[in-house]
Amino acid sequence: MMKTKLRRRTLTATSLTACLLLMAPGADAADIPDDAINRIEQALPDAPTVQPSEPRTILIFSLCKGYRHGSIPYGVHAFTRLGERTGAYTAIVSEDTAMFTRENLARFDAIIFNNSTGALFTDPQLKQNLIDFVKQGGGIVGIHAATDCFYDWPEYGEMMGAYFHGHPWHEQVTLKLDDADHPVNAVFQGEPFVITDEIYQFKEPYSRDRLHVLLSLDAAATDMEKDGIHRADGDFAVSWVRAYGKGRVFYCSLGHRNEIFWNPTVLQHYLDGIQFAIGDLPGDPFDAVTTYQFGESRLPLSEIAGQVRDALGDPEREREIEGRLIGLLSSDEATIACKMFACRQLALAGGDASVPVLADLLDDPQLAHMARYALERIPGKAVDTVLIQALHELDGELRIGVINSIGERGNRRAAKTLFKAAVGVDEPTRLAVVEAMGKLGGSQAVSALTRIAATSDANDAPRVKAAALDGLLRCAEIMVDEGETDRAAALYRTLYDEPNPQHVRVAALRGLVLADPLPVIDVVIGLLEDEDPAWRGTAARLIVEMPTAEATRLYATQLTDLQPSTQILLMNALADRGDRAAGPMVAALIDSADLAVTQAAVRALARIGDASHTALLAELAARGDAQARMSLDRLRAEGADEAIASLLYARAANVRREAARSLGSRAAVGQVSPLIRTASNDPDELARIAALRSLGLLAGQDALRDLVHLLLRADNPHLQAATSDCLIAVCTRIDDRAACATPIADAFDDADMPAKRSLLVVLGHVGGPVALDVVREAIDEPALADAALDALTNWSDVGAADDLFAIAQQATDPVQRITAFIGYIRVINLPSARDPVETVNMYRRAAGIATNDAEHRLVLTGLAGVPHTDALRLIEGYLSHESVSRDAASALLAIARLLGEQHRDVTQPAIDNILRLFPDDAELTYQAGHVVNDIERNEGFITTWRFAGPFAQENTGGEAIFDVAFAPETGDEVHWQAMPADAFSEPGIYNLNEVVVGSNCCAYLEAIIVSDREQQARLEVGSDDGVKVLLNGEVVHANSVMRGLSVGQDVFTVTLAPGRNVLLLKITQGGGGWQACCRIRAATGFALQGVTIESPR
Amino acid sequence: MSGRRRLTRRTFIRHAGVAAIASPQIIPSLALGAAGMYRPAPSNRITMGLIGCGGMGQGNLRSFLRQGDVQVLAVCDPDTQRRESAKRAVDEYYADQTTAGTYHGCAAYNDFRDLLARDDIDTIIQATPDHWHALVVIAAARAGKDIYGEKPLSLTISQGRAMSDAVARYGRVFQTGSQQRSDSRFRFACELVRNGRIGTVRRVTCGLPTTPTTGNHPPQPVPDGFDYDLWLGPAPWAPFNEYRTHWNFRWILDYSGGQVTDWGAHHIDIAHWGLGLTDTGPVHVEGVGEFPIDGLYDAATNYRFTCTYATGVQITVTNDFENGVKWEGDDGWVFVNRGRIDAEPKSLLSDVIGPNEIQLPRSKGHHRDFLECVRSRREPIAPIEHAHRTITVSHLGNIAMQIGRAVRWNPQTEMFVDDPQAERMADRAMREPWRL
Repeated sequence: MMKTKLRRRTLTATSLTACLLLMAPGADAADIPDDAINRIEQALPDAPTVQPSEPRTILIFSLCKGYRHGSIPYGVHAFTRLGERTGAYTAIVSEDTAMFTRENLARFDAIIFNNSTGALFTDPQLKQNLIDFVKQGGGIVGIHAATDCFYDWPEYGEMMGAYFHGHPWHEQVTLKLDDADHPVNAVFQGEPFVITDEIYQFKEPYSRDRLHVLLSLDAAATDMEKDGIHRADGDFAVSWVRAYGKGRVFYCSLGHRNEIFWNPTVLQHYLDGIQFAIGDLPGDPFDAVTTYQFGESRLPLSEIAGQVRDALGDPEREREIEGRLIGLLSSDEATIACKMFACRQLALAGGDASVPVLADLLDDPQLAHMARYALERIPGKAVDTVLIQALHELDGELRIGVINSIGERGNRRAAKTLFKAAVGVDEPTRLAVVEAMGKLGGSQAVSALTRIAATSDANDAPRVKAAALDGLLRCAEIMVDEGETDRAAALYRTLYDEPNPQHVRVAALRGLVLADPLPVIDVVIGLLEDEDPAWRGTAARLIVEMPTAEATRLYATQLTDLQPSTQILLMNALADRGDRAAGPMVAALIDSADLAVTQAAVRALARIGDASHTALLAELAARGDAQARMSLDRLRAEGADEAIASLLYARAANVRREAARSLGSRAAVGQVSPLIRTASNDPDELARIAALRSLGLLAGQDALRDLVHLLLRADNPHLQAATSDCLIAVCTRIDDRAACATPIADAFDDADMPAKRSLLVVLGHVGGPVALDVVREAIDEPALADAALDALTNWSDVGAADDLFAIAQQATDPVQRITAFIGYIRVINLPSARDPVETVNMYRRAAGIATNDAEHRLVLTGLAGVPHTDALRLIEGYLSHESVSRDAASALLAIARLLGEQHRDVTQPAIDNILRLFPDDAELTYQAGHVVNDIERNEGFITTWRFAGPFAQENTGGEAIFDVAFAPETGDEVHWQAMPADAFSEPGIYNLNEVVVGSNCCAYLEAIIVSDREQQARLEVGSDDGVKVLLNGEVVHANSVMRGLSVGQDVFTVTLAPGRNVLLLKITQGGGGWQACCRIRAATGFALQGVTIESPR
Repeated sequence: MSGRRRLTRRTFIRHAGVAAIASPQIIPSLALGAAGMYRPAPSNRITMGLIGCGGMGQGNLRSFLRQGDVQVLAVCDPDTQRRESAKRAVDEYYADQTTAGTYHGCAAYNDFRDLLARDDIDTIIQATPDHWHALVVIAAARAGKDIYGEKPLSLTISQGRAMSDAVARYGRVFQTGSQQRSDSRFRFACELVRNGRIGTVRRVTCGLPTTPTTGNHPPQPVPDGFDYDLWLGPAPWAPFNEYRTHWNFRWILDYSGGQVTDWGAHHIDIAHWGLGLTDTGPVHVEGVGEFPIDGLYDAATNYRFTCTYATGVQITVTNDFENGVKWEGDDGWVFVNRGRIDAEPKSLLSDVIGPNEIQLPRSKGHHRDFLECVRSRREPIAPIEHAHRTITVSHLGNIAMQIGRAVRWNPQTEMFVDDPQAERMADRAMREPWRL
């Protein structure tokens, strides 16, 4: 959005004086009539085309050594007002050549040569200054006669773009747009422009190759029979722009007639040209890029890359931008860096049209690579043709580059040419040809490579030979891709049989196995028995990798004929291969006389066994074979669980036990019913118990009734215990308490005493009101009272609390009393959502009926886990009970730790109290110290800082900058800012990235520590990356390191002076995270007394 | 003919054509060593050379020196200072062997080809900048060496494919420096996901850091003792400036891929591992990235791209997320990074993976695992094909973001679908005399 506000540059006294002194006569506004002033004023644009980011200053220079145009004062006034009115710039008007000293030129963003003529100055220094000014980024605007200057100074002509060569026309003419889209032509809105003025003709060095012409005479609409026309090409430019070094040039030949300067269209065109020259209005990046050098701003390159990206997919736009990129490559003016960039873009956007110009670059050492960078990506035969041609015309490294590209393109027709190119050349070229042929493949390449491999001596030309062998391997792979398996196999076979290096033979064998595995089975198996462990390992690996299912069976059938050690290797490989087809052959080896073979077979079956092997494995496991047990448990195959379940009916009891156990280990949730049957009916007690264990892992709610019935029928303590455990395990997994308790409650009355006792145990674990009812009834039965009390004591929820309390209060039997008491405490402790105040009340009740120290201690132990100040107060009451006061102290400390920082007001006095009561108790003191430390873990962090930065230095990285002293260290003026309140994460870690931006730089944090005395303090500093700490100007700690932050990374002691202490942290930044934190404590690690951190002003 | 030479996959590890099992399950004791077939004699050390003596190189060097059955014989770097520093480290470590006369000093090379030409070196550590990875790895495989190779695996998709093929061709052992695979926390997280604890996985997010930026830096004279032309190697020529080399190359697309590859190599690998998609890739990639328009670094600073796989699961890679990997499924989620693991429901964190469930390979240590595989010839825990598939995702993301639209990818043929423009970005011509 263009703003209309005016910017008036505030002239300093010096510059104002300079202006007044340097304003030459003739430049005074009084020299033009008021009427002209008014017309100019009305024609001026209100706003700049681009709001400048900084104030701009330009020089309007109208010195004439030749003809002096009458329009000069009109131009001076118009240009001056143009800048004032729009705010685009402030103008200094002068005709003094002293403006061209280095110091004066440095004040300007651009210079307008306003109708100047002749040799304006002869001093070579001034000339150099002007050239440097533009090349280093300044702008030049030439109006009308500006091309009628400095004829004896060719650099000026080159910079401005052309020299004046007469003005054949002074009449109304039509000007056409040569680039309607250029920003400096925006005012014309794509339409030709009719104007009356004196129209120039130009001569050398004028050229459209060097200049971006914007506006020119429409020769078709002009009288071409005038005198003085020297050009035969009808090219009469009027406006142009160009880049010159880092600077920009705008020239417009309009400006002879006074009224030009109150033509609004022309004025807007002038403004755009001036803002372009200054650099505020971006021009065509294709102009700016021509002068690009490495290390300069990449903006024009990025803009062009964006245009290329946007053009992709639209053939017309692609061709257009391709044309412009080709133009860059063809230009004599464009820099090497610019052309390299153009090649990169042509890699994306180039087509047939680009090929010739890229081909031309293949012999240029500076551009050959980037030419290929583009060529390699362009599809089509044209590229392949130019590459082959270049192959003949080049030599040395450039030739090698072309050979490489031929290989990459995969153009097999080039094989013959390539091979010829390998004759009589140096080794690097030969090597390149060999490697290229390997990528091409095909029979010519193969025969060439075979010949080369055969004739290269491994000693004289080891690289060539190795490359040839590699090439042959690649050719064989290509053969396989193209379906020529037999030829590939033959080639691989040759490479394997020859005395080539081991890794080449490995590659050849691998190729054979992948291409055609069946004929080489013997070879591979033979290698399993090779002396060289590398061959054995390779063979095993190949067995894993080989394709086709048939191969599995064939390899596996070889098993029986091999030595034991080989059998093991082969079985391991078959297991890794994972194809179950090998299962039967492997299983057969379980009968081997060799124990290691048996073990390996058993192990392998875990991977490739199937359901049919479960019986065998179970038998072995039943006999104590640990490996078999593991394999039985791990076997993943369809129907394995069912097969094992069927073993629950095996003849041998130990097999049945094994099956029962394994189903649980395998998480075979589908086999609950068979397991229940076994648990119920199996004649072997151990099998039943194994089944019960597994059921404990697997069974769900629907099995409960059956399990309860099992418990009722359990006729010995082992079974009772196992069934009871099983039920407990199952119930623990079921959320619905009532659903668990109901089947038990239903069966309770029919159970005999032992069973009832077991059921009570289970009910204790189940918990809930349904279970509680049963237990309450049982409590009244003398034979069951103990079991019922046990159940209550072990109740799984707090529902039993009141019952237990009542018993503890009323029981006469001391054993019952203490049991109930313990149970009460226990259930209070169970996890619950209860309000802690309520919990404390429950403990208070317990305390109320406690009769001895042991019971009080139980209360204290329980209270120690309640994070509430009420608990703390209750415990404090115990401190006066001498016999348990120490336990109380300990419990109190535990709660203080739980309460943490939040209740300092309560916990701190409590801790102090303890330390006062037990001054000589080392353990309590130690405990207290830990608690305090824990509570204060997040205390002591400095959270009021001010910061300054970033500070960086040219070519100094994040580590080196550690040693460079910047203003905060040197005492120079620093712009400090307060650290924002939210730029940190707990507890006091500051993320500098949120307030300072940079990499390879540093920032400073400053805090003022006010201490009421001289004292030692401990600083705990964390930083990302390095940190240097200064206290009162002296370095007290330095750690130059690249790291992430953690709290308390560097700990060191300092001495604080009384009064204000300036703490300065310098934090370096390489890249990525940038953080700092600093904690201040007493040297003992506890809170530091007598310090405050001053708030930053 | 398209602009890119088509490379087809040369390995058959998952043996197409053989009845596939539900999932692989590695039983550790199947190592050949455990069968007692060969236990290396104390004098039978694995010899090693280091190529690339920067931060990662010297770090890995120290890890291998400590292993006890390794003998480092040579180091290589085009920067004399780094080369000499690495050599010193090795010589100091073997000081007592040198006095005993059993070690004759560490050789120091400028050119990696000289190191690879030595027959007495069995293995190498490859710790060069990314644009060199392909050349060093392929040359090493061709020379019969086993390789411990730093991540990101490659600079382009084509280079990664060629590297994996070369390693497979010669039956070499290659361990990628993605050490998160040897970390039990990451493995446990992946096992939870693989075993369906969070149900069907719908979305995975990989949180990576932001890539830094810098200003424009002028050409500087090449420091003494630095063979800069060799350092550049296959990359396009550009004048020397210290901000290009030695760590910061990561942010320059001619040499690397920014954080998208630097950290992507770690977390995308873990994402794949948890999903069981280590040998394939996405079918659709789309995203947005901010690429600096000025300054020396040009890799994406802020980025978010999403890859959709044939199974429907999506992996999103972004810097706008906590560093780590998060899998989200129908029944919960798992998050893991180098400092912590978290899950919903929390109970998953104390889950035990049963013996008959999918168990991912356990490592005794990333460097140890490499050495044991060198002896047994088995595939190490972070094999090259997985690394290639992982970093392909990063490259696809960078391409999609640069090209500014979605791209479709065929993970079997490893080519873009109907997309000649994207194809052009899958590879780059190397500077002479270098070639793939």
